[in-house]
Amino acid sequence: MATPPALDVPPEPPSKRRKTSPDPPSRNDTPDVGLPSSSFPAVADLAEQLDDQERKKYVKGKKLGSGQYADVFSAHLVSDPSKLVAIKKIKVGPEVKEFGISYDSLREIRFLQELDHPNIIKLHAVFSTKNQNLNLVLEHLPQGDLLKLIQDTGGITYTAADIKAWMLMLMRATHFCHANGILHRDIKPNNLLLAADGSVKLADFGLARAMADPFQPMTYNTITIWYRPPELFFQAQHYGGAVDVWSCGCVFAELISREVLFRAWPETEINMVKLICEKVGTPTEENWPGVGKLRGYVTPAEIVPLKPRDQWFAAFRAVGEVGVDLLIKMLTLDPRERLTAESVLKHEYWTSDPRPSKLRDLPRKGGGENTMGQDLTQRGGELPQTNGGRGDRVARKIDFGAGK
Amino acid sequence: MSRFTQPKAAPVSKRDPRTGVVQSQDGELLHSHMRLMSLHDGKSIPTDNATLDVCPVCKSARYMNPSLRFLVNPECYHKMCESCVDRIFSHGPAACPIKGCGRTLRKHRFREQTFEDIKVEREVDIRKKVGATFNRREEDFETLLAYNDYLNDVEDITFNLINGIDLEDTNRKFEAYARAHGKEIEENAQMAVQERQSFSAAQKLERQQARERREAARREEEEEKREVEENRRDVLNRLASGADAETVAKEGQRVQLKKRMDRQAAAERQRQLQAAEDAHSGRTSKFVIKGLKTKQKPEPEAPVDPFGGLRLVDSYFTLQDDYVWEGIQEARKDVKQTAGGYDVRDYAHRSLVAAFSGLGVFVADEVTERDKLAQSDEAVGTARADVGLKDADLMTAP
Amino acid sequence: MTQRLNEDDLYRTSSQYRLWSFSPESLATLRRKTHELAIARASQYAGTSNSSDGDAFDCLTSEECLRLVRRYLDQTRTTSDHFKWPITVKATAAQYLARFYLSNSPLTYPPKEIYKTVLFLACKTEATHMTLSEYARRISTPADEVLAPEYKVMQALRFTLDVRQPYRGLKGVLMELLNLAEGRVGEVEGVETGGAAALQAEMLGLELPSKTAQTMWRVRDSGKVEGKALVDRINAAYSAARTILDGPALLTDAYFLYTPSQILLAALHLADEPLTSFYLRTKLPLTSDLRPKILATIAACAELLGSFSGSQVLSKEERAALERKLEGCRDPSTRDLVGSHAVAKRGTDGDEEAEEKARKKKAARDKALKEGDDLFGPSLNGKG
Repeated sequence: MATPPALDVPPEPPSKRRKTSPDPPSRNDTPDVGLPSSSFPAVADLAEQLDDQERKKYVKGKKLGSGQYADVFSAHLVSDPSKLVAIKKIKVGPEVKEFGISYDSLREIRFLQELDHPNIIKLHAVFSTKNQNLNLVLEHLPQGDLLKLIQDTGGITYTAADIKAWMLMLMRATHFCHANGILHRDIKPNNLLLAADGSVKLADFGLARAMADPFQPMTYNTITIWYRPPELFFQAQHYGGAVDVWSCGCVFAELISREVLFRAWPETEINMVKLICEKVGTPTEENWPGVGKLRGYVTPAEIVPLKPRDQWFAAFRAVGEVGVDLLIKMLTLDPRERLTAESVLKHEYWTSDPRPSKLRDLPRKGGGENTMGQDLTQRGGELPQTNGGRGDRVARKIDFGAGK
Repeated sequence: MSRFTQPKAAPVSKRDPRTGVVQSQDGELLHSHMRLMSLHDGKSIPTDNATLDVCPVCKSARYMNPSLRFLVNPECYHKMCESCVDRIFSHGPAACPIKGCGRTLRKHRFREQTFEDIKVEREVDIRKKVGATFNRREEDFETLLAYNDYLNDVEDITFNLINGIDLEDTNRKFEAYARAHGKEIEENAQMAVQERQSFSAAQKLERQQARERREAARREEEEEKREVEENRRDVLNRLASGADAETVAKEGQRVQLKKRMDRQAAAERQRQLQAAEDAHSGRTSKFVIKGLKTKQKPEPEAPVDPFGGLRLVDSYFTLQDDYVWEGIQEARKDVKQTAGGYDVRDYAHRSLVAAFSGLGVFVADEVTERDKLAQSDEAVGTARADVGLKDADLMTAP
Repeated sequence: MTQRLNEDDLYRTSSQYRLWSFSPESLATLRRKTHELAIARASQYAGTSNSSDGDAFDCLTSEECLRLVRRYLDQTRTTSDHFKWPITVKATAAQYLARFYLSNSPLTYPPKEIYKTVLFLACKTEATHMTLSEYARRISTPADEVLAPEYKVMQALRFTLDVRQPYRGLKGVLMELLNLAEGRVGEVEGVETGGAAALQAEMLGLELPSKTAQTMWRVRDSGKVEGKALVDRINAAYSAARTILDGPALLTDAYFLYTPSQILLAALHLADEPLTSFYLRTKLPLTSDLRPKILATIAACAELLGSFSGSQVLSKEERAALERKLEGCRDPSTRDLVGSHAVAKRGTDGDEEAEEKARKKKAARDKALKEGDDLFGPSLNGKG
């Protein structure tokens, strides 16, 4: 705007001329609504004022993680620097032209605003910045995630009592979601963040959705592939909390053996179904009535019978017979027979020996602050990143077909 | 008769009748050490010196009466000989015979003086008394500073008592504390007793283990010697019988090495078994860490509640097994839905929860109340007008 | 130390209860504040605008604003039906719009420019999928016009996206009523019912709905109502209640003043009062002190819903007239939302700039370091 307009070009009509500099603040008597000192040209409306107030509560610190979809910063309260939070700034990607604010962000915001539970990550607030970016103020979880603990076989050892403590917290979180009619649909160890006091917090609700009514189809292309239950591989569009319970069962097994239970390589759906058949048994009309009616039902030709109990026990003996009994019931093929989150909590595993470890006795250091930063930037449905490739591991595709 | 060999007339474990705390054996040792010291240092301060040994009451002296024993009463710390104590106080409490004292004394409170300096004796008694009441430990305190503050306060009280400053006030403080924390005092005292017992048990165990180790080492040495001997004999025999010297020598060495290794392997296995057994029987491993806090087992913990104290209740309805409504019936029949795990009954439950969610919530009243609170409560002010800030506790989990 | 959470406690955890529930007084106060702010803001421009009359404050009254908003609530419903979207989308969109206008005024953001965005947002949050381009095409609006106000809408919603609705609950009531008619009951603790059979009999002998009841069900001749007729009655009551929930519930302040449970029971009450009273008798113990309060609340809500009539929605002409008036006095700074959205997006917030600077500094430092290590010293003319 430095050069004067050319003489032969008519000046733009007033209505089109865009203000490039803000108007000086109004000198009229403004109603007393406690105006913050904002740089808005006019009196800000109430929502803007509140948003402004919220943003000003925090002092952003260093960046903890950066992903394709979001950046995560450490931050603290202006009023009390000892109170830490994590601020997840959602990046505006190319897809915004097609969709506006992404489904994931909307889902995360919507569900986290409604859920208040000690084992679910707290969304303290949301605010927007000058350039209209969404900022989620989340709980600060500096101890990293459960995946790092599991994978650090050299540095970290944990006991059956520790496993029980972690699983108990995970199941409580899952049960709470289901009781509120929400399916998480992305339960896996790197979405289980660790708090400073040792407790586990379920995070990343980017793939969550409210449970459906009958006849209302949902997408089957959800949940990170290694933790996905067989009914979704068979393209069931009507499912329930059992899908989350399967994922929890996979986490349980992984905690015990310290390796992913259904680690298909290459990560195709066919390979996953094959693995499930091998490790649990082939789904048949006999052990899962009606499975043949599911559209995507296909299994390898060789029928593997259901794995007998003693083989489960041989592989997972660390949690004892009671623990193995629970594991089997969580990894039952027929989702109707699979335990619900509530039934899992009613299983005798939790009240039998050993007692779940106390929080302060649980192993720590699953990676630290930067792991949290990394985890929070992850898009739902992605497999954990190893040192190397990234793009090829994205298992989730955006489905435009059937309803999600 | 030597002064130093005193007949041990006192009972082996001294119990202070007031607090019931077992006194350590240290007093005895310290006592005799101090005796020795006082003889060797050559000073000749006559007051309360063992060499004087004259009873102030009856004036009988040691040289006349070799088995003379002096007792003191913690009431006034005046010493007198045993026979005087007997004579004066056997018939009940009486006044102290020392000129100028006159305090009422009781026979059972008389005891032997542990320290040369009567002032020290008095101080130690006071400290014991204070210590019996103010027996908190470091782990009871949040921070080291708090613990040190506590110790400081206790020392203040002690100082006052010893030097007779502000006696009334101090005593009142003392009693108030004793009354208020009677239970904890008792608990801590119990813990101390237990610790001492387990400490001595652990010491015994350690000594025993050390002894065993020594034995084992000795045995090993002997065996090795024997083996070497045998080997040498064997070699000689072989040489004598005409075998090649070099090979024999080499073989001999090899055998010896093998024997040693076998022995070591056997010993190792034995050790492992022992360790496993130890772990199994709950004993501590090879060595006891001195100075480790022994954690008293807390009261039996509450049974694990898998639901974490949370109970979701249906207060306006009871879920039935089945509903005739066609919507439910149709859904049940649809295999595509049921085989996928869709739970129709759960849907019915959700619907009914939704039907009554908020039936008993009176918005107008509750909002008015909420707004009123928000205005009056400045601290929480912004939190109430929040954008969903559910928890003022940002950093730590509940 | 067990914490018992019942249905009411669960509702109290919702953002709808925490942020979007009001007493009639607080609702009025909020609206008044918003309107005053908007007037003050609009009047800033009154002096600088080209309008001739000095009476620049002849803008919409707060009543007119309300009516305009209500008109667009209705428009939202129509448009949602046009797309054949489920009722959950419709209700969510209507609520978003209503909430938006609690802290914003039509004077600043005319509803004509906002409702399409709101509807699109609702379809996203309610798991119904449509691409922006298809949506924009079907409502004949440029895509970026649909998108531009989205951030503003999110801000106005204070980033709470969940709307608790009465539809599923109404189905639950339907389920129970049909079971009762069938002689089955789920007994509630503390409520004396006399048993399933007695309840069934009672149902059959219920008073008929009044003439003013909303239900379509009428009995030909009076007398005993037989089994099938009872089922018809229940279904008809459900149907009528559903219609009320689709209409007046969304076009009045019901969601702000009452809970979804109260709203659906109020709708049912309007549909078939004897049936509803009977049902409530099986739910609330006579001795409970909440009972009279609950019944009174439902009655009050029913009155709110019942008092609504179609005439309260502006006609097309009335709307056009108001919008003309609005055009003259609206806040011009928000006129070009597309433009300001683009500008804002191109801009950076503080930390991006700081990052840029930091990166540049680091790059410069690295470069200097490298050059320092060069055998012949740093380059002379700055060329690397």
